[in-house]
Amino acid sequence: MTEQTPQQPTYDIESRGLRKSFGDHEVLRGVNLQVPKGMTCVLVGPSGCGKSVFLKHMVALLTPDSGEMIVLGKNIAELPPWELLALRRHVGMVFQSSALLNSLTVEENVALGLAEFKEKSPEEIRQIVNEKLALVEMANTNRLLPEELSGGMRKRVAVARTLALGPQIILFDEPTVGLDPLLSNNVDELILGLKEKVGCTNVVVTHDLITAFRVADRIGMFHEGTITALGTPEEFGSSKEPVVQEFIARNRQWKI
Amino acid sequence: MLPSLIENVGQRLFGACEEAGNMLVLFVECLRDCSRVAEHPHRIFVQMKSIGNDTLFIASAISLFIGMTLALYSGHALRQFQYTEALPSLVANSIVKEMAPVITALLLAGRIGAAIAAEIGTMRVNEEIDALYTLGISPIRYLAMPRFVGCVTMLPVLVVYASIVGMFGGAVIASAYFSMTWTMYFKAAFKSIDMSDVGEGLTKALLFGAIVAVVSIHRGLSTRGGAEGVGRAITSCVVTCFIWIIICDYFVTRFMM
Repeated sequence: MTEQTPQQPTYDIESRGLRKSFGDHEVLRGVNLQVPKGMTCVLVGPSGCGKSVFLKHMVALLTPDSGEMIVLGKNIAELPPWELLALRRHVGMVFQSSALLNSLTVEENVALGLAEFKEKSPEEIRQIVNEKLALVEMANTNRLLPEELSGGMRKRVAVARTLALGPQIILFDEPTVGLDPLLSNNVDELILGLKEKVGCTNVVVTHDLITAFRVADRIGMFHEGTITALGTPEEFGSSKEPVVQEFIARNRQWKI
Repeated sequence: MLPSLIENVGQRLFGACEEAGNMLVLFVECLRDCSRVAEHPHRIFVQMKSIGNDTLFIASAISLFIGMTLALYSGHALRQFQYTEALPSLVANSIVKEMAPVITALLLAGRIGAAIAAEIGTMRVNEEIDALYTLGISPIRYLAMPRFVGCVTMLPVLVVYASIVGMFGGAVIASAYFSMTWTMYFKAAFKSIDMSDVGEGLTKALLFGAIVAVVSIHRGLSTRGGAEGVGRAITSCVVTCFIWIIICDYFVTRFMM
């Protein structure tokens, strides 16, 4: 994503030399990444390579040991708690487990962020909830509890909850993990649809290359705590990096 | 051998200090967010209702039998000195100042504290707490503050209720075994306690309510390690609450003596 255009683009997300360790284990070893506005960037790599840890830095669920994470022009490590909460409303995240509040209905889950800040009337909130649920093809599920939904449906509700706040950036953590190929395809379609209808910047973390090649404008490979290859899907597919080639080959083998 | 022992003790001490500091921060954050009680009153009402409903029956049973046991023991001891007229005063003072606040607080820790730690701990391991952060919602304001207010406001109410039930238990024994009329018993009981005694009981209730809330919320929020971690958080929450309640009880009693 870097040095692709002659003019300096507006980056929604910019990571500079990000490092993070858990005990003696260094997970991120100076990660650099720039994601321009409106782009879908997919980070691939084997499980446990630090992709999700990196993603959590983008929404300040984790703080770096060193380096900078600049989101919407703000270095999030330096923001006071109240500004951080405000910034998070512009950065939605769809968790691997969907992370719906199990004690709330679908409607209450989607309305959660809006209801908390009391900036809109209950009628307006209901309208937004119905609109977002329709957008993710989950209309008329308002009164269901998360436990009554399938994995794919939960993912959709989680996306609707994120969209309700009108974020500028959406982060997807392993959106297709644990889903069968048909549901995975549905989630891919959902991400593509959002790109077209909402136009926000997306960062997707996955080890599923099918999803990566379908939804990405740019694909990066996470390896040994850094991003070793970054480019368009075509550039990524023809990369000479041995780890990329091996990852693609093994993914093909596994899929067959 | 010795250096590793010292290192181990040092690490544990450091960990305990860090944990105490975190709980203090949580307490201050809960107090700070109490200024927003009026924004979502239904959340606090739900907590108060749940705390009241879940503990009322057990509090009644425990207080009744503690009052009866106290009356039975002290009545027999006083009879040896032919001084059974002191029975109502002894039971009332023990119940109001000590037994009701401590026993009800221990009950709150076991019943409500454990439930809070389990609920928030499960939310933590299911990434629901992280999801709240990403929606721009402070888990302290959304989850902790209503539970904190619920515990701190309901425990004094429960203590007053438990005191009355405990004294009633004493009256049953006094009339059955020590030939005392109910009027005589309650007159003497109420004469022997003044506002400072009630104040002592309520001060303890407020403090113990805050301890149960802060410890259980803290244990919930710091849960790690799936279902097993939730189990550990619950056990640790109840044990820590019990220890702190008993320790603080001594110091408050000493201070107010």
